[in-house]
Amino acid sequence: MSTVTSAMLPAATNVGSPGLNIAIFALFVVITLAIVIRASRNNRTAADYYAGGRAFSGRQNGIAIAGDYLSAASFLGIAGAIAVNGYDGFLYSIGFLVAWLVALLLVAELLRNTGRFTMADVLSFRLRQRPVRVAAAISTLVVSFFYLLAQMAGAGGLVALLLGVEARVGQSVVIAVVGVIMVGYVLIGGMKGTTWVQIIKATMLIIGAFVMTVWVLALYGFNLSAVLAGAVQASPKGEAILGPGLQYGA
Amino acid sequence: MSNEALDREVAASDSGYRYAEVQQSTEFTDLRRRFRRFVFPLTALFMAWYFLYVLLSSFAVDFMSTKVFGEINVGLIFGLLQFVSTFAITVIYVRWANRHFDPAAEALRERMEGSAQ
Repeated sequence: MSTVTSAMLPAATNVGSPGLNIAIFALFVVITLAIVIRASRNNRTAADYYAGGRAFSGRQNGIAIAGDYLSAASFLGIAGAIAVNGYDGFLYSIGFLVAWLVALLLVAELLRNTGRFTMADVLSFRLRQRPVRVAAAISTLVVSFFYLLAQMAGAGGLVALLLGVEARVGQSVVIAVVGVIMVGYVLIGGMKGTTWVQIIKATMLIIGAFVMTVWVLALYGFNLSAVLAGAVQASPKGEAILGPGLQYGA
Repeated sequence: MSNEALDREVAASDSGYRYAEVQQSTEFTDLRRRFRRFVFPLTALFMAWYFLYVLLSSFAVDFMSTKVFGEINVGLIFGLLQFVSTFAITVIYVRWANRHFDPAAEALRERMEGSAQ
């Protein structure tokens, strides 16, 4: 981990002062926790806890799901993959996008029709309860474990960069604290609280990405071709980053 | 709420045997056929379009690296068209569901729950 993160740090990166970064991070946590606690006040039934009392509109839920997807692994990982491998990073990210259509066309309507809360509820709707629930619980835990491994490695790298925590023990402590805060959000707020956190996060990330996009384009006179030419110049792999083949392919 | 409690809730609102009855009704089979007739071809279409893109990127590297104008190559345009097709399919599905499928499903549900009381 420590060798990975030190390799991830470019020599002359300006990331601002760690104190200011910690203050912004703490402010974000305090504001979102306050919203979660407010939202959790009227969690009374299972429908409140698992489905947010079914009080969210389609648009709000859509933004929240987008917030789930704009995680550390996708937001930082995809940007990193494109920075290192160029076109193949872009190719990789398209899979995430198109995969949504599988959920939309083949899963969404049928899942909604059952009126259940969790995947295990749906699966055990017509099948024997115990084996189905055991299988669903095991696969959920396995997927979450490996998913969180990647997320937390990303969080560790980010923390090392922004907060200036270089020591391995210090990074582990920060990752553990972040994990406890995340569990706290869900336990306190249920689906209503976490949905609000995701809506806030998605809105901030989309605005941030939009501002950065316009900014970068403005630096190159709003000419996409000039941006790509600048990327070729800056990359050690040169012209090869514009075409496929650096990471995948025959 | 446990699943047993949910099942009791379901059993209290609609007696279980009515599910089989509705499942075999022509309205329900018709509704299901309409859903599949819309969703399956659309799925085949976007899968084929996506795999065409991935396979071209893997095996037709020179073609995908061909510059169209400036630094913009064929592969980049293909990738951006995947965004266009994904958003288009989403809009088409939402329109179809709002105009045709959901009203029909809603009507069937109301008839089912109405006659249960």
